[in-house]
Amino acid sequence: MASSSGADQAMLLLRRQLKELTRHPVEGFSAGLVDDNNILEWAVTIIGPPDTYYEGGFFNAVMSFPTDYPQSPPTVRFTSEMWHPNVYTDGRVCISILHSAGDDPNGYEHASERWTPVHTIETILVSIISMLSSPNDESPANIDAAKEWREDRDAYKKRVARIVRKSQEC
Amino acid sequence: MTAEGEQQPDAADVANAAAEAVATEGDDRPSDADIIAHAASIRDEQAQRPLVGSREPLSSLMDDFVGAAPALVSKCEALAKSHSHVRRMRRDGNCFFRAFLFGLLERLIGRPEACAAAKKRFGDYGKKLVEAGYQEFVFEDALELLQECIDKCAGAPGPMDESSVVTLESALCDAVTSNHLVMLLRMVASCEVSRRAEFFEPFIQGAHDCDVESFRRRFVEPMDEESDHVVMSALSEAVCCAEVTVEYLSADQAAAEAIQFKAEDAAQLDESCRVHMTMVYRPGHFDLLYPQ
Repeated sequence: MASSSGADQAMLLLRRQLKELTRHPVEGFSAGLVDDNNILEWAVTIIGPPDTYYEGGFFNAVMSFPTDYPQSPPTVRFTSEMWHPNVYTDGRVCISILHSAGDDPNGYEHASERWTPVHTIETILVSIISMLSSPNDESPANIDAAKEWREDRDAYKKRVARIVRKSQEC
Repeated sequence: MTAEGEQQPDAADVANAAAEAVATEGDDRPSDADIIAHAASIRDEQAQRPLVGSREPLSSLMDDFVGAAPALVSKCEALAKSHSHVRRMRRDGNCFFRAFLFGLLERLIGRPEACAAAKKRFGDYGKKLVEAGYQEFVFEDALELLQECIDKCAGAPGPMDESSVVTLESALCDAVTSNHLVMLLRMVASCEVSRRAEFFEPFIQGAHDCDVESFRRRFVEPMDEESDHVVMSALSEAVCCAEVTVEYLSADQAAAEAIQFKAEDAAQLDESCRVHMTMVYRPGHFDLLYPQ
């Protein structure tokens, strides 16, 4: 019956989303490919949401899709400097919808939403934008950032203001 | 609907494995890393098995329980009076959906009328998915793939035609095809749960202590999540032409208990369009059964 490989299926779906996002851009982010020859690697820019510490920032990130997307989630890594409880110091975004079932070594995410194939680039980025608006300090990826968010909000604010400025420079 | 055996998934194996590890190490509880490694080894072991196995004599099912669960052996013996074969699904959490998928397509082989009805039903359901807010491009490839599979079934020379069954087996052992179709059925089931939210809500709250939306996002749409009665009745309701009988093997009941999942409007469908399949369930896992 069907003889297409997993990668083909993933690529088809991603190409369709690229076309759709080019035609109808969504407020809050822009998305394109890192390299036009590789549909599995996306370069996105997330605009710091208004009325948050991140307002005014332009944060670049790379989304890498596995060949069995959409059955498995992509990874998202900020390449712009980021300071956030749910972003590892190497830039990797740690939110529940980017984890597949059975991929939760800490058991933190039992009660929250996980990756499902109905997620699209748009819904992932919308979730990341909402993560910027409301950090979750319960299961932090960056413990120092979570601690600062909890205990020294002024210092947190200052540090984020710095990365916002930095993101505007380049 | 009963809550019996729910959520003792293939993950039950993992839990048992963890318990075993405790037993062998005396008082020392295994570390999280040990448990994760063990769970991964169980997953790896399952990954060696085909997504859909070939038909085996029912006695092979009995062999699973000999020595381990005598109560289930006698229940298997009872099943053997009316059933001859079993077809195993991989224990990856998708077994119900995969068994349903295979069971449906296998029973559509060589029945053009039933194929046309099923095709129409799924086509119509695509519209319902859009109405429910699913973006078309997330499911349309999978829907097209399913329609192609149904067309292949329609073209077979007769019901259960052997070479068509073999073709279907290899199609659904291909991870891409198989998982793509499972993904579609998960969306269909999830959408149906949402369409009948009022009906399902008390069952969901009772069994999972969460609202309908979270249930769909946590248990129905993600791959590899176990299915419970809510999912089973939602899927058979949505697909309508498929009636699923589940033979429950549990250690605490006197006889195997059969439960039927059948759409309310299935009665309006002509018998020539209906599909009947039987599954065997023991805590954590579904396989397909074949009557004598």
